[in-house]
Amino acid sequence: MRAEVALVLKGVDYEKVPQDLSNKSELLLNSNPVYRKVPVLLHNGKAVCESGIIVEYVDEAWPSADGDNLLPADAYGRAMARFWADFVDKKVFDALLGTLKASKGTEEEKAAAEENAVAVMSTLEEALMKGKGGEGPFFGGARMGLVDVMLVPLLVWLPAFEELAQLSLPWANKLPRLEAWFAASKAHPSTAVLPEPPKVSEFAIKVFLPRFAN
Amino acid sequence: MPSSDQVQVLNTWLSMFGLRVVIALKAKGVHYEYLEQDLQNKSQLLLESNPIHKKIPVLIHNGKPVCESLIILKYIDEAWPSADASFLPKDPYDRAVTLFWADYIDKKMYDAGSRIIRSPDAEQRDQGKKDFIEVLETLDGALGDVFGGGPFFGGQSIGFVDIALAPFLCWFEVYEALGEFKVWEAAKCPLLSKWAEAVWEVPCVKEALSIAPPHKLVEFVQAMRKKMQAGS
Repeated sequence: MRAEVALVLKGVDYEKVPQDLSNKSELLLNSNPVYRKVPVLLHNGKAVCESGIIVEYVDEAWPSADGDNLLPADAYGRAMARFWADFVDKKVFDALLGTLKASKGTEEEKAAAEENAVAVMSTLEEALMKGKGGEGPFFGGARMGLVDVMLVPLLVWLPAFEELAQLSLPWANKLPRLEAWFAASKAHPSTAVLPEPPKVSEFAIKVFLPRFAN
Repeated sequence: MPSSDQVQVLNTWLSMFGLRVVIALKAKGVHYEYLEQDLQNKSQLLLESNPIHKKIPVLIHNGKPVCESLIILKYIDEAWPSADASFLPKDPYDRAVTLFWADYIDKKMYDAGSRIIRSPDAEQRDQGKKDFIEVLETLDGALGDVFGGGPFFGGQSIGFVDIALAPFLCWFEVYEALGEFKVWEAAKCPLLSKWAEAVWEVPCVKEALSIAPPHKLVEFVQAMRKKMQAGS
């Protein structure tokens, strides 16, 4: 999802090659021999792997004509963007997966998982508040940047987790900027390429829940 | 940016991630203040500089903190650009490949090594050893196939991957002591073993790694294990 949104933001034409992960193609195994995972970006036959690396590659290989790239120009701004992108990558989805896993567990486990998810989302809310002097609605300011692209899968996953894990986040009370981020990102033309949430729920049911069956 | 720069490094000698930052600053000839941290009793400065993760290393540049070692390396490379001491290649594709392998080290090396040290039983420790050897052999393959054979991942001089990997060398004696094996006998790494010798001789690397002498790390880990076994 992240790779696609990055390419759309940069106006790059691309071909989507869906992969069957239960029966991995020669192309996938040759392009990503180390991890054998998606996403992989193939640019003129050369493979780039790992979504964060792909997004930065897209930013550099296709610099925006108006100079407004996914990453800011100054070294400190770039370090901050990378920090939050890393936080999104390492903490956000794990916290949500945790609520899904706990949905099969005790009340205590459920409460702890939800608390963790709320804490992580609150951290994102703070980041939105402080970043770029609070100018929003995106982490990148008025335009989507690296952190926004890394967070984009949340648009499809969160509704799935909310439904399957009965997760309820304190949107109005505590997460107004994140709520605004959701609305702005959903409305943004680049996210039209994302799958529909119901499809994602089906996928989550098929793939994730069985893993948590114990 | 000359002498008006204020640079501090928050680290502990036990962190291979922090040593990356030290190597990088020395490679760029940047003057910095090294502040050894007590992670059992975190300082106000650390908690304020890295409130989200409360971890080291942290680089503080003119009062502004940068966290996460690979992010710090990129920052150092960009904040102190120099034609002859650039960590990353210019070409976007080559950069992506370099970053991939640094990320691989982050994802695989520490975890496997930790399992050699911390596993409660021999079975898990042996698995840690196996995984660790596999990581080394994969890196050896990459050095040959992707990075032109060496002497360094960065070519004739050290680059991003060399800086990311070199500090782990301090810990090899610890892994060997606890795993009861010799790294370069167990792992088939003709290129990487040569790399290990060569990189340690690079002045900025040698100076940085002297913060964590292998024999001291072994003593430390063995003392910790005794304490834990006695305490339980």
